[in-house]
Amino acid sequence: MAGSAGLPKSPPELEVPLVVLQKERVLTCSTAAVQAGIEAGMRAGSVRVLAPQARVHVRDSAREQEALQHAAFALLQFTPQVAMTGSASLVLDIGASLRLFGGVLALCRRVRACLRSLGYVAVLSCAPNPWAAEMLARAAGLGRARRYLKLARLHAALDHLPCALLEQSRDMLDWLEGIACYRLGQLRRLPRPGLQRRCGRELLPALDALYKKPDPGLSQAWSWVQTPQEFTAKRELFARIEESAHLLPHLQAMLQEMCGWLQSRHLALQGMALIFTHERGRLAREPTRLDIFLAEPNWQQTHLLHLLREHVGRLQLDAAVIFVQMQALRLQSRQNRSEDLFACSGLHGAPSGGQEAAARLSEAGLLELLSARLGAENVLQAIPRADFRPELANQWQPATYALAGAVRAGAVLSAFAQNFPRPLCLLPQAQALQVRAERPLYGGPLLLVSAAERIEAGWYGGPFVCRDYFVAQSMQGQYYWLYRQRPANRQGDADVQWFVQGLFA
Amino acid sequence: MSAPLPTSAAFSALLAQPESLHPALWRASQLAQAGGECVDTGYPALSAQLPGGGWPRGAMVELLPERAGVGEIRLLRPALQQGGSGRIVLLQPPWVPQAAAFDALGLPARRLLWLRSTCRSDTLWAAEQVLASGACSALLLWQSDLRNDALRRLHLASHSSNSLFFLLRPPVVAQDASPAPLRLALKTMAALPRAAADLPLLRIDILKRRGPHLSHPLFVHLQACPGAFYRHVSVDRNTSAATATGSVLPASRHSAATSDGGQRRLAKVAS
Repeated sequence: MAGSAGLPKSPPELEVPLVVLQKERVLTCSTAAVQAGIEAGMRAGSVRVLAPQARVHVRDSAREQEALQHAAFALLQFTPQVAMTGSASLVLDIGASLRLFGGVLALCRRVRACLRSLGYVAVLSCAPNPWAAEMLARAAGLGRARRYLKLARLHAALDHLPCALLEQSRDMLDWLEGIACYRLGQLRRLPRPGLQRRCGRELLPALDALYKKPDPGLSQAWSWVQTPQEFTAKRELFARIEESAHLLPHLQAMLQEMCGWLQSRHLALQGMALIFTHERGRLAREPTRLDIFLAEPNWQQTHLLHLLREHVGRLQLDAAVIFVQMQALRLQSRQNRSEDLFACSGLHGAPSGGQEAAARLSEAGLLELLSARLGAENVLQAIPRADFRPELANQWQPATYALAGAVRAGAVLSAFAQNFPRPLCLLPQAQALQVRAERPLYGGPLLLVSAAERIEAGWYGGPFVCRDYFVAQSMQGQYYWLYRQRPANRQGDADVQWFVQGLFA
Repeated sequence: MSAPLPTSAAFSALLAQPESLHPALWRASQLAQAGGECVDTGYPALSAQLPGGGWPRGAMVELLPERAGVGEIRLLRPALQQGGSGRIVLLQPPWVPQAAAFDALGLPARRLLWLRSTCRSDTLWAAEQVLASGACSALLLWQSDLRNDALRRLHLASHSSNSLFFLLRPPVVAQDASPAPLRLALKTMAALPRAAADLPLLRIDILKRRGPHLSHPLFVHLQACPGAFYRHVSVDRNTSAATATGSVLPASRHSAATSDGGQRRLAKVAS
């Protein structure tokens, strides 16, 4: 079984007409260009007359090959056997992958999505042998998949294809038309010795290959893509990128490639380096380097992408980026384990690590793992500060950066908290309370049960706080921590206001 | 070969003590034996009603406080103090924990780990990782809407660990089924004004345990929050008023003494 993908096609929704020239003639053009009256085979001069605003590119076969190579690497995620053919198409042997990915349709959907994230639109087709698959991909219209899994139906479909699609018959087309032989089926019914004599030796084997039965030996006839020992993806950007968020689609495409490479070599990585080369302005700038390390080796694209998104989102770029490089670091061979209980829920991705591996995690490893998924700012360690203002005293820092020294400073404060009421829970934001009959209300009237504790601090810097704190009891028996905001000027007590700041859990 | 059949006397003796046959067997009128190690709750009245005489390790314990702040942390304080020196993980609490107050309660700030997450699947994942790592001594998870399969998976994850695991959920889920072997509903007693300012009373209903249904609620006196006092209340007040309801003071006399000392000191300051 083989799948084939034709590449590349221009996205149809672009507004500015795009034209690709080869030898001063139009090779292909976008929908907008067709609307402007441009058609394939036109001279470059006519294009300039019909659509002066059109963007004209000269075909660059080196970059085409490069794009094909990127796609081939990314598709290694689905099968270890990916081959590049000469004519802008890729052949994948998916016979062994069907079961894993849940059938032909599901696999095609994933291949299509993968190529779309690289920025390409592909025509996919499936056939029992690679030659036929490639032929069907070339024959199919844009976006229309043709899948023939049974040999009989494939033969029927091939019989209807025009002879012109067969490369080896190109020179003989006029003669074939002269004898009213337009389709492959008709070509096949011609007497073989005569055909060989008139059309040369290549035509008949090529024709027979299309109709071959699936055979495991077929895969040896192709030169499958070989992956290098080390992985570095490089991408020259089409535009100067100044915001880190705009880098993500490019990084995602490179990550696809890296995942394909990891999959083909059966490796897991524990870190990756991103190197952003800046535009050379008046001053030469050092490239920005971003290293991402994982607590545990991983190879899953969704998880890596999640990490990448987190890290790149926080990246501050000093100058425009024109070139990106992605390297895989700290590679290990993969340990296959059963997956996590919760990891498979939804699309959120499956981070690595089964029960046995996690059981070996030390506390530091656990913190790193939690920080990787939840974000370092959500894995917090208390760093109490010696300050009278509760909002400032109660400081939490990412546990991975937390300093042991800062905890000692908090000991002073906790001794203080032994003697003055400090609630276990603080509200994220103090809430203003209504007052009725001189008693503050919070789901019912509150009764003050403690003496006032006056906190007047911050005149030396930071927010100035001038409050009287009380413990209050509700009718249901809960204890709240309230304060009365004292007015800055001591004249009027009209603007005395009550706030609830915490509760004693 | 034939095993000798037990005589009727021996058989009835076996039936009287099914736990001698297998630890997983018990009579409907008995409390089950604990499957694993248990940590004393610190409240003898409560410990006496729990299988194994305390909070089980490696099992999911569900607490259903009536509302936030009924005293759920103070109820767990003795167990969290004795349950090991590892981290106490607060996963997705509905409020901001104040480290100094935990410190004053005897739970050092360096043991606390506060985890926040943006979506439920991350919360559950984090809970599972914490339980599976075994590096933490206790996990407190606040989560209101949990599907039954998630509960079951948390329950399974708790089996693989040796930590204390408390799941705090709103009281409305008391009607729903849950795989947790122990479920408690917590309520504060409607306080009489100016009466219970120093030692708050907590009402505990055991909704589910491995043992007979407990028809009457338990009452425990929680340790007063340090420094939370009413200055007109006399320091050596008689606190035996609630003993008629069958409740007992916290077992750790030491902490009660320190908090009393604190109050006495402050009473001086206040007067």
